[in-house]
Amino acid sequence: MINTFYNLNALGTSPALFLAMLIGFGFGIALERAGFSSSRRLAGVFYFTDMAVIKVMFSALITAMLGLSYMVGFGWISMDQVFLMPTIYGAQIVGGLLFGVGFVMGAWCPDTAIAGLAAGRIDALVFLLGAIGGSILFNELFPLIQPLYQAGNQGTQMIYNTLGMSRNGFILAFTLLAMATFWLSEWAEKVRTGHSPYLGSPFLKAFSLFFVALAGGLFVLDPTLSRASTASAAVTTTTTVETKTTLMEKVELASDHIEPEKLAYRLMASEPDIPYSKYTILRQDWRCSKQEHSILK
Amino acid sequence: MTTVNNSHNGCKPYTNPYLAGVLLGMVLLASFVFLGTGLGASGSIARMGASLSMCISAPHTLDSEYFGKWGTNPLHYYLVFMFIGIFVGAWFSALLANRVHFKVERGSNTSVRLRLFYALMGGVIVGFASRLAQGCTSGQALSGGALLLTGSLVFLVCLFASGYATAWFVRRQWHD
Repeated sequence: MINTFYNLNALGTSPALFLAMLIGFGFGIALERAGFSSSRRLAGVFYFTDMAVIKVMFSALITAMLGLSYMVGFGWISMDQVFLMPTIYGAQIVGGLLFGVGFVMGAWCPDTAIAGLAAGRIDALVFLLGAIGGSILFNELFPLIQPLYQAGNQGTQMIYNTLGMSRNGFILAFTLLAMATFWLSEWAEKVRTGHSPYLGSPFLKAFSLFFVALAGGLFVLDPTLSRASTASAAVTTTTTVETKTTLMEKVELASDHIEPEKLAYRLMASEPDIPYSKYTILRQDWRCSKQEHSILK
Repeated sequence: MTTVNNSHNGCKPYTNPYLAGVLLGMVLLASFVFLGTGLGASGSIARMGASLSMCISAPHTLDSEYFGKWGTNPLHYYLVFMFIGIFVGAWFSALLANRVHFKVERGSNTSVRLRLFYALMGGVIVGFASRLAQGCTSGQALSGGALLLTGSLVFLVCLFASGYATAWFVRRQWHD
């Protein structure tokens, strides 16, 4: 299994800083290739003239989501190796609403403005200087904002638990939603500008089918994540508790196991009905499952 | 495969947005797997803000509750290095595609002053909002969204909802 720099608490070391720079290099290339070094193209998403922001962002999101889910499914990485930001409803709702206003006014967001600056856009430079100013303003006003900054802090919250869905079920639904959004975006461009290069194209059909199939594949890879996990987690906990108490009672009453000497006598007497499964209980840990327990009975 | 044409002569057309998105997703996945964190940009901008604040008044900055915890050298942070990477990567790509142009992007009927005013105000709001939400489009919406975190997806929905709600009021900057 991979050990991440975050998990090693080594994000400040030279190898991590160098790696962050390399990843940033790839990030910058991807942003610029997508055309995100142009504020006009970015703003287009809000006027339905150029939906590239939606297409690129959701393609990237589902690629990383499915890629990570498969890697977790194969056991190459575990989710607790990755930094999971807390859910703070107040801060994220107000922050998101404000951010949208700034995004549509400036027609840049922080990452795309860096790409825009690299492509010589003066409005990107002005936007970045504004963002530095906005950060300083936040620091100066922090004592006033602090209650909002922590308002509705829920700790780490996964969306499928919040919605009471299974992980795999949510991923499939989200992938289908992304595909529907792509087709709608193409249609919107066609209505607004008269042309849409990908609407109904063999490329978009194949692309959509590929991702839906990948999302569906997760049900095969890890069926345990196909049930709503809050419910199943609760069931598992109670089962464990029940098992533990009943097992302890049985240990007390010696009805669950057989003493080695007794077993030896019975073996020597070659009794036909020796319950072989009882051997397991001798080295059983307390967390034995319901199935194992029913075998013992 | 057709691609959208850029308005400038001699520029290469942009990559298919879906494939560019897959490339971006692969970079994000690499970041999750090796760094153990997602991508980020606003964090580095805030660090620059803290650094500037240090230049103006070091005691005041170190005393403040938010910037203070970043210490005397706020620029020693992985996201600042990612910033450098993004800049160099985008520059590299833009040069290859002949897309480096020094200009203020705006509608042809829009004054430079109006566009830069909007860019500056937008920047201030975005800088502030990213600190409040602890991330921006890349750190919260994209990275947190791919991790299926509730708060990040709430941020994503709020961002687009308010963007679409206010777009009409600032449309003048793109009038041709």
